[in-house]
Amino acid sequence: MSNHSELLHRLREEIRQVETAGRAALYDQHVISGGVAALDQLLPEGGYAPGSLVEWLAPVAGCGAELLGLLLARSAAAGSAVLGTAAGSLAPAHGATHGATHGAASGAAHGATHGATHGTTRRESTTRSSGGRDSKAREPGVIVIADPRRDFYAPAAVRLGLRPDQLILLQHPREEELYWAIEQALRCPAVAAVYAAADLSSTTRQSFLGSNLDQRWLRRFQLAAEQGGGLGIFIRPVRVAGRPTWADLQWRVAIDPTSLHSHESRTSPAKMRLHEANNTPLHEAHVPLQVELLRCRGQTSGHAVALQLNLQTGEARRRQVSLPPLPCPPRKLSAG
Amino acid sequence: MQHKKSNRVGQALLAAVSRQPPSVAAAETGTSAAVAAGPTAVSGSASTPAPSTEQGELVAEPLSRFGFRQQLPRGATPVPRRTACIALPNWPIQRLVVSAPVYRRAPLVLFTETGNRGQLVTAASPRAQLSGVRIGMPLAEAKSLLRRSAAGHAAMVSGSTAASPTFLPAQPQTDRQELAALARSLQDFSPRVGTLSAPGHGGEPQFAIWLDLTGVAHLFGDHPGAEWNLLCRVRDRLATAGYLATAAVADTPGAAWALACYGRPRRGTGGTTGTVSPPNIPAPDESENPLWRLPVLEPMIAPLSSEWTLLDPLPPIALRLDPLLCLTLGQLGITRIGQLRQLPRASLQARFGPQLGRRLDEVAGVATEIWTPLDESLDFTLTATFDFPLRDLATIEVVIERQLDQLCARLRPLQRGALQWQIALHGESGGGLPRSPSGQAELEQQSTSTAEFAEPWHVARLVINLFQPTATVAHVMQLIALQLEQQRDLDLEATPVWEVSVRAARCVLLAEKQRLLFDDDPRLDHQALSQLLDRLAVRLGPERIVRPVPVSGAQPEFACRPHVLVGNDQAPPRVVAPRREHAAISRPVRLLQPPSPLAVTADVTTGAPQQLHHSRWRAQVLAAWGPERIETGWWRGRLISRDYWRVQTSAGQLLWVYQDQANQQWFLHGTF
Repeated sequence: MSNHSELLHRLREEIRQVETAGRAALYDQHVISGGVAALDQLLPEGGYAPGSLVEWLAPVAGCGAELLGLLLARSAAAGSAVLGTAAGSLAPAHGATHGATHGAASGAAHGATHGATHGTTRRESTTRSSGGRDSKAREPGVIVIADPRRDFYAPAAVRLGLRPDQLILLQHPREEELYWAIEQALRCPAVAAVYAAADLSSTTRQSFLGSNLDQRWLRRFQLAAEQGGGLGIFIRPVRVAGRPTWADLQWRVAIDPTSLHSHESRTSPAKMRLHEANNTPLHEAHVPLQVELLRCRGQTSGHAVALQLNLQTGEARRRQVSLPPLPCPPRKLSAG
Repeated sequence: MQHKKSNRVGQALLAAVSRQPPSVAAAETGTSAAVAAGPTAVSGSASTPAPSTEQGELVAEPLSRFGFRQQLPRGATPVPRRTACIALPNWPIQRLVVSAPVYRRAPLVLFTETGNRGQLVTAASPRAQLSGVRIGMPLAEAKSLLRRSAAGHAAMVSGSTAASPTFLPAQPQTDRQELAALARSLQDFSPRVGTLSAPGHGGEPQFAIWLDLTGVAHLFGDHPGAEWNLLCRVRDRLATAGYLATAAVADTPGAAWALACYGRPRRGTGGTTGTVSPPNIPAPDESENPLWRLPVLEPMIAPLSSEWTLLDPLPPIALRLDPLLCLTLGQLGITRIGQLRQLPRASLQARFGPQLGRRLDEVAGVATEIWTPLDESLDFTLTATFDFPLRDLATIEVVIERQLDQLCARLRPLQRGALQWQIALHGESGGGLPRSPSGQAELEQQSTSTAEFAEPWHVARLVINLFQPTATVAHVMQLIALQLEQQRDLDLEATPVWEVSVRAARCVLLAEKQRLLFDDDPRLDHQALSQLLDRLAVRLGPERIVRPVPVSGAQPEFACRPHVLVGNDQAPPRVVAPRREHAAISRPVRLLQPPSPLAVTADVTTGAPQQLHHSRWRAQVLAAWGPERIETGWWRGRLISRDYWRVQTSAGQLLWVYQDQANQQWFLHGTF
């Protein structure tokens, strides 16, 4: 048994080394917490490796994928939620070292959220939560946001805790130009994250980051990100699931329509509706999310986690419900 | 001559700095960093040491274009910035009178030709103003007023012949040039001088010269009275030349302007007047013209960081506001800056626009104001003319590169870089640039006017705006190549190129940052970011690369405005921390513009939406949070009154919908 797991571990390590050879050695010691501890736990390294592409697949606009993407961008840009995990020691999924990593991950994420939402000095929380494990916090970088339709509403990002002077919007309507700009931005070491979202309400295939996106662009994004060390965060329609992609991670996000208030108030809607009017504490205003890991290097796909997103604090926590997984395309072991 | 003088001051400054006692010597690096890094910034905000950062090693100075921080070594305090402003009231008249004293004998009126309103008076000498001539009145009216007053004068004082008034066309261009020349003549007081003009009460421009006195004043005497000495000498020199000037020194340029132009000089203002006796300045030519006898104005020295006491009694126009805005303020009964400061800032911004708040911040030193010194806006042009036309893009690129090499070699010893590069390819009929007879490439220093470049014969013209100044050939060449690629209508076969001009415009001091030996964190590399922004601006267009700036005000559509990053002279706005009471997720990530109408079934008692019907879909509401009432904007013409709800629908969406209270209509305004 131990022989078997050792072999698996060694093979995984070899594959990882081949796959991430282009990644600068500098970044290999750090992973970025995504701001949601429950999701970080699903990742083999306990966070997002710098220089990786992350795709969030969303069935409809407003399903929470953009919020989770922005939370990730915030962590990347704050430079705070950098953990000192050694990616080289790829721990088995439920080993002891992994558990320790989780603790630190959630601590750092919490610190970041706290600092960002309350406008306090973020760096203090960083050093506190890092606990001296690794004092090498990265300098805050900028977030480049591709905004072809000029509908990105920056106040939302600001309330989530991103600093407006860290945001750069690219408002060019032509997608070819934007793809070029995204590649350039990912290649730049001063850019912490590039955030781009497809038009989820559009039904045409010919749309920005839609299902007709040329694979060569994604490959170029990946190479650029490995060089620059920033994260590429892409919100894409769910119909690209199952297609080949160069993204290192693929999440699928949906609001869970069944779970909410199943125990509470489906029958008496008025009670549930008026949280504020009924003097229900606002921190109980939350939206149930269902997030599934569709693709991840070094990890079997298909892990799902039920989250609840608190609208007041912007924190997402694991929801204690047992649910059947969403109907999804046949799962397969990620080819790496 | 002037350059020699300023060099002398520079050397003296260096020598003085190197002789500083230890406490000041620690700040030496800070001084040089501030001077080198602030090419165009006369910042007022650095007078207090910034709080130390996390490591406690670096002191940040807010001197940046993008929020980059200037790093000072530990323990170094930035030198407090001081700016002197010398106001020259009625400058167009003053300069004429000084250049030709004969004008002093009679009323002098300047006029300008306007398209539809005929000739209007733009400036009048004090004597003419006594006769009732006002700025902006028709010239004919001024003439008749002066004739009448001359007749009255002749009747009253029999025997004296009143000189006949003079009427001259206004020459605003010459006014500015003369002012700049005068400012340059003051460069032996401070190497960084500049000119400024802003509209006054009647809309006529107020002219002033400013000197950056940061780290300079101690050369002119011991500390307490140094600035006073300096200003008196400046004023002495102007007075002997025949100019009438008022001067002030303050922490921020805006405050210095306000005090110089509108301050009420009083004996005993400032902390230094007691120690230094004011010099005795003869009023210019009192005997000859009684109307020039104005009170001898003493310089005002605002003590460090205590300007409000002096500024509060001044009128709002002293903030260099739009005269129309000042008129509005006057109608509201706001006649002093002190009254303005007592009003809540959020409502000021919403009702009077961003200018007012920005000016207040700049005067207070909270925001950095950028004034460009005169000789820092040098620009250089290099033109190559060929005996045979060029039809090959590669050759042209080689020529451009060679010219860039020469220009950058010229810029580097000056420690300058250009914020804008212009490349013009001229066709057969010749370029607009003045050509040297030899036809050789010629390096010449141009005036700042761009008229030469606006000739119609060019084959192509590229303008490259940069985020930060550069004198690096490779970087500029890369951007030029990017733009040449995009010149799709460039047909060199049909229109061969005879002449290539490269111009480095808006040259300012390079902001160079010394990298540490073990500086292994590439994100500190702001150079990389500014190069990225330059590349993006060249290909996407500078106006498409923006930074969102939150604007105070409740109406969601106006809560944010874009701030163009590249080629923008405006200082970056300061960052306002989000208020704590806002929920983290209370605004949509995507805002629909315009809002999309919905038909909604709402709960009767609570008003909460229950079912949403859109033209393309319908959905059940599973949960709704709200209402958040937004009622604002009456000054924009129509009161906005909306009840916003965050709703979770059966389609798995989190939406932001509102009901317009005016007509009970529902709208979808965004998605989360």
